[in-house]
Amino acid sequence: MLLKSFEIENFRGFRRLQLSGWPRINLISGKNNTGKTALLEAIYLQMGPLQPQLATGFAHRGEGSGTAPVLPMGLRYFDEWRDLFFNQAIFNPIKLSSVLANETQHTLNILLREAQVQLIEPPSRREEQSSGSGSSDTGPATTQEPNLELVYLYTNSSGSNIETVATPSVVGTGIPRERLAITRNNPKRSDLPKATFLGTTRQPRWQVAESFSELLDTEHRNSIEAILRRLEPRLREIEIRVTARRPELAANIGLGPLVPLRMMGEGITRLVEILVAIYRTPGGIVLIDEIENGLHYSVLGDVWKAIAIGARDAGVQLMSTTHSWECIRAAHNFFAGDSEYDLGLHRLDRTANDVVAVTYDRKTIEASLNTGIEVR
Amino acid sequence: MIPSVARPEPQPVPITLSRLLLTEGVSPMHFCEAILRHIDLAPQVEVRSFGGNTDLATILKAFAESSEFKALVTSVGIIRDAEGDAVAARRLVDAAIENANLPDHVRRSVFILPDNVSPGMIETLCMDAVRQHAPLAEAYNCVQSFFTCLQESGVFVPHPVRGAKNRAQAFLATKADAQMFPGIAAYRGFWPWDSPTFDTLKQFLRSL
Repeated sequence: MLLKSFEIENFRGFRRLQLSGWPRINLISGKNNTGKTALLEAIYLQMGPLQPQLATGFAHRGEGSGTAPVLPMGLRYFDEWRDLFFNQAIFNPIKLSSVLANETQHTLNILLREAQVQLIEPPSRREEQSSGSGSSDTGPATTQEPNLELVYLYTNSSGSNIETVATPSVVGTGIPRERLAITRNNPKRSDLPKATFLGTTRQPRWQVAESFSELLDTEHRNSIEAILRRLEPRLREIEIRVTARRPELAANIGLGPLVPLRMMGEGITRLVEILVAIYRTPGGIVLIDEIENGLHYSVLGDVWKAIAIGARDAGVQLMSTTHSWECIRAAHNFFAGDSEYDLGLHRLDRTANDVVAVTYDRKTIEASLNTGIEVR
Repeated sequence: MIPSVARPEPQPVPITLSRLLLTEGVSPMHFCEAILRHIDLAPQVEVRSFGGNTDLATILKAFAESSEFKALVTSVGIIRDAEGDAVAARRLVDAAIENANLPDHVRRSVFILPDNVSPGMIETLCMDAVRQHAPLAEAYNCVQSFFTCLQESGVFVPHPVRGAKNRAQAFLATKADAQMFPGIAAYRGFWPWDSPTFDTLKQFLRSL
């Protein structure tokens, strides 16, 4: 189900941003620090409106692996949530709203509030704070930090409200402080499409292999191989092989032994990563930060063709940031010659106090590219 | 059939100045750059081509949506030919400006060649200047005689408006380095910049 419009309030560098005009494939351009990655994060968070642990994962941007974590990461202090809020004003709720192509509306409010339970201080931290005091007490103690919990208030398409609360470890629960306790007041599930996020840091090889393994017994495996064969005609099959106890993807190219995918170049590895993400998110949204990473400009036309085939086949909508003129041109050239112009370009500009978006139509993209007018 | 030739695709050229002048094609762009240089305004006005007249609305909108435009540009000038009807040409430019949704603070200026009123084009203006510039008057008379001769011989009848292009080409053919467009001729200094014929255009450029 495609996203039709999206609105953000009080998230990261956005006081308020409204974006509509989302076709199947979307490129997001803009200078550094205009919020391109944050826009992807906002969409990703909204598509997981019952998973506050995702917000905690993004609080660690730049520290983790390439994929946004879906498991709780280290939550040590509420300060780590600060950067999610506009101007770090943690008591102004974040609001993420989307309208899907079926005209359903979904709203997620994210806020911090006084926790109903008491936090405990881990012994290691207490030792840091009391160094030199000679204290040997290592038993539970009340923390001096503000006692806050992260609250997700989700209103789904039928108007039902679901409150999900993420609370750091609490007295008596036995949950380690590095984990979040998640409680929910309503058993209803989210009715939003699934989303997958590929960050700028490459996924470990074993992780890509693990994702691919989920597609082994499906027709999607054949689809991915068929798309890749357009770029590498020698390719017969992609297999999973285990080296040094770690799985990785390898290609059968008819030469006898399997060739590790990593030996076939950065481009094909990156493309496999993208295609696997697309086929693992059927009917959903794939978000990619800096899609051109690892791809030579000369193959970008083929890459867009592969992505277009995969995205249409899997019913996926794709949003990606880019800094690359060649990437935008290659995407435009491909879709301009295709049966359907499925491309949108959105540029973010920072103003004095906010960020604004410019959405290009096909004619303006074409005029800009052909005249050398900057669109990034 | 003309064989297809691989041409390099354009690379982005950022806007760097607050005054932006858009011209109808590359030759007028060179022409304007040269006359701006003559009046010492070249470092203050950025000149870009919007291609053909049918592209103006789209190109102007694309410029207006670029982040450099929003950050830098305070004045936009547009120059195009009147062709057969200066009023109609002006109307089309005004519609393109309206469509581009320029920010309120951006000044808009339009010049329809040759003089905002008459039918014609850049060559009309240039050949008028040649005619009125005493040192070039003889060359102008020769060009006129040439076309009168062609016409009387039934070889060629110049178009009443576009004939200015023929006359300009004939005039430029009298230079040692022939085969020039008006823009290159402007860079070579073949148009008499000090002719009063160019005064209205200079005034327009200074007011940008």
